[in-house]
Amino acid sequence: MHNPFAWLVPAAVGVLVSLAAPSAFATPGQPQLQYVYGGSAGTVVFIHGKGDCSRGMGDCNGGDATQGPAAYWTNDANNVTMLNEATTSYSGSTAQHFEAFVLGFDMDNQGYWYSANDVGSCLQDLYQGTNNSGCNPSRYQRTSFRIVTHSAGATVIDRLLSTGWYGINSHVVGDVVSLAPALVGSRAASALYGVDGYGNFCTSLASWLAGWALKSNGAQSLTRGTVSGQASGGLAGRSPIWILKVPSTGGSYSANNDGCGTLWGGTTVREDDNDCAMGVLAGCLGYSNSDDMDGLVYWSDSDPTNNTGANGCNGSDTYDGSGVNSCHYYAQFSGAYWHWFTTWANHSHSRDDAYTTLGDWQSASGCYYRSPGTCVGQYGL
Amino acid sequence: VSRSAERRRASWFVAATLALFAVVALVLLLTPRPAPPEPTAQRAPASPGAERRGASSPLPGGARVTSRSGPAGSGSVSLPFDPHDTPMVPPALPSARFPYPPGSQPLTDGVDPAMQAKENVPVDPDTGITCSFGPRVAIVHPADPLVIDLVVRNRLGAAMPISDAAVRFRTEQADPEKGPWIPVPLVDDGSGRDLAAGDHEYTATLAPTEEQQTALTHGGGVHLYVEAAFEAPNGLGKRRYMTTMQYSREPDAKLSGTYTDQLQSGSLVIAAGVTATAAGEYRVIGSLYGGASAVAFASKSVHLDVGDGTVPLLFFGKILHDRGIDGPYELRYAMLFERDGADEIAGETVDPAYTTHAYAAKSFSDDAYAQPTPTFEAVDMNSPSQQGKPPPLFSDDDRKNLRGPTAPIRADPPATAAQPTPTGTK
Repeated sequence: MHNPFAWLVPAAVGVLVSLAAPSAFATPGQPQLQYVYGGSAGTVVFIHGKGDCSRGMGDCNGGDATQGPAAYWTNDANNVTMLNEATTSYSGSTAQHFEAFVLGFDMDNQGYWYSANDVGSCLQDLYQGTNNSGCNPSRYQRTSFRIVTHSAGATVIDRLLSTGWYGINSHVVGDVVSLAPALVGSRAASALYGVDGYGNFCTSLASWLAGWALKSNGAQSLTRGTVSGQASGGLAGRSPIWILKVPSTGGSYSANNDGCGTLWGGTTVREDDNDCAMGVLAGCLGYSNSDDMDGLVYWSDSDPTNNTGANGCNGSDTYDGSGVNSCHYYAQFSGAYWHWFTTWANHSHSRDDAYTTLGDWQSASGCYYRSPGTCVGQYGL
Repeated sequence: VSRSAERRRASWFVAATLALFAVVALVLLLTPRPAPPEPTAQRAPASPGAERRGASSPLPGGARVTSRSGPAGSGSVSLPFDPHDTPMVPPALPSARFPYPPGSQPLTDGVDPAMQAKENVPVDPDTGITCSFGPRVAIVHPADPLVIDLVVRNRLGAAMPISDAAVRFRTEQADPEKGPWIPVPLVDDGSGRDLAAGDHEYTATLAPTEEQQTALTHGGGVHLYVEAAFEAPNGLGKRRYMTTMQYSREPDAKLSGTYTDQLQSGSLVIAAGVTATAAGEYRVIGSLYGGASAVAFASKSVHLDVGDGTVPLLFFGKILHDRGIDGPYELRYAMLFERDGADEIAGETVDPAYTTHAYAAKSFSDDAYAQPTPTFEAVDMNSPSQQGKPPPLFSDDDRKNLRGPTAPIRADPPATAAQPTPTGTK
């Protein structure tokens, strides 16, 4: 049997010396600001989740320097990007467009608190028209903007709004929309960390699908205990600006979404090859009978005091397939948080609106919950 | 005769009972199951926009999902209400801005800022074994020890024995894979900070030497990454989990223990005295209690020069007024932080910190916070300074062309729930 104490063996002196030595792991990348769509109705800045969409583009949904951080929001099967519908709204048959900026930063090689610093300094550059962070070489200036986040992007923005750091609060207009928000961190951050014991099947799933949730500072800074601890110190959960939460349902059913087999009538959606594995992985880790995950076992719906049953969540853990999230209560989250609606897209599709390939486009009379970008554009801005 | 009559009565009774069961069963079968909860949104009428753009609202091929209900594993196979292919109107957005100013919010429970919730992670989903672990105190300064508690529990909550258990610490600059780490065994023998021997609740205690203190506080950042590993019970194999804690020098300022309070513009302001040995940006937080009830939270950052200063904690009037709890109030869980480059260095919790004068709740204002008018000059895409900048990545035509059914679609590889094919794309 393998002895876990084997890693106790290294000489203490050597450990001490090397602790202060330079590290070989990747240096965090510089943030970058990408101007993706034009528009005249206003400005929207998109903040991605766990990954590295900094200038190095080390881990950005398969995107490269050509695509830039927009790749995070793009379905790689057809290059459709949810940035389009999330910045479009209709009045009758007339469309109006917001312009879309995407902020790319590194949430792999550094804790999310440092990612928040990068995002804050880049947003500061945007409202000042400067390039102090290196993210804005074209010196675009927008003194007011709206914000849309995905996953741990909400954790980053929540830190900035809660603290008021970088002075961005007075430049944010409207409510912040957070898709599949990891406001109190991620179940995956700790549970997926050491998957050796789950057997080869789950191990291979985790190393492939959730590799981004494993051994990186970004992932490890997003444990539930860590983020709730930050909130205890007033560094999270205290946003004075409404953060609209769009949690996604989970469990093995909706994690599979329409693409995995025949559960939903065999309807397929592009990029669906990943969806099956998401559901299976959730089951491997013991989170299968709950709608409080979104296929990548993020604790996505962190609910403060105002998130009660009246806002659409359940008082107890929800069963798989019920289509709602439970009300998770954290006393530290005393700020402005609002459970808006629950999307049926899983963690991946809640940021790329893959279902628009099935015809989900918003209109003046409605949007599609499985393509949350359509609701963001039509009703959230 | 009487035996025959008894038989007839018995037969009638059996038949009646069977008939009653049949009726009950029929009623149960025919009674509609309660519909699963629908979102509180309205279903939108058929989407003219979708039609206009050449997309049909129903799923391709006429596929329609039907209703399913019941928890997983219940045997029910019907499908729930599925808004997938139905346009919806989401619930309304908040009708007004948050009624409190930045740094002042209502509170229902106070929390010691030096504490953080334990990580709760599954060890074995099938048998319901879970692991709870984390730092006993999450903010530690030299030369206090770093203490990690860990317990593995069965489905009923009983602590279970584990073996070969240890934790290890690394700094933020250390490599997530290679370290270097400082390893410490998890023990259940009452040594170190372990509370009791043999209770299956394990504790790792790292009392850093001076060299270790230097290494840990000069390793970049104020956070330490903490990995816990053990051989799980019932031969389940090895488990590893992760959390973090903070370990840093103390801030260059301290709460001096001097406080004053006053009603100011309809709100309660407590000025916390601070003595600084270095000029810098400092932040103070505190929770206000009325008796046993948490009422409000406050946080305020200021620049302080060397010497004695104050940090004003604003407890917004509307919070106190609406809560209706009269003072005196108690300031609890006060803590000072120092901004240090990209980090913030936490101090020690002071609890309780101060008791205010007596106030009537209704003496505070119930006015909502009014957002100040921005003082900056507005600059947007139409401003002269923004003309001639590089254009966006996509044009207006791209907006129309890179859309749904008209976009080129690459077929997905076949996949099954039982054995997905890794593609490396996500």
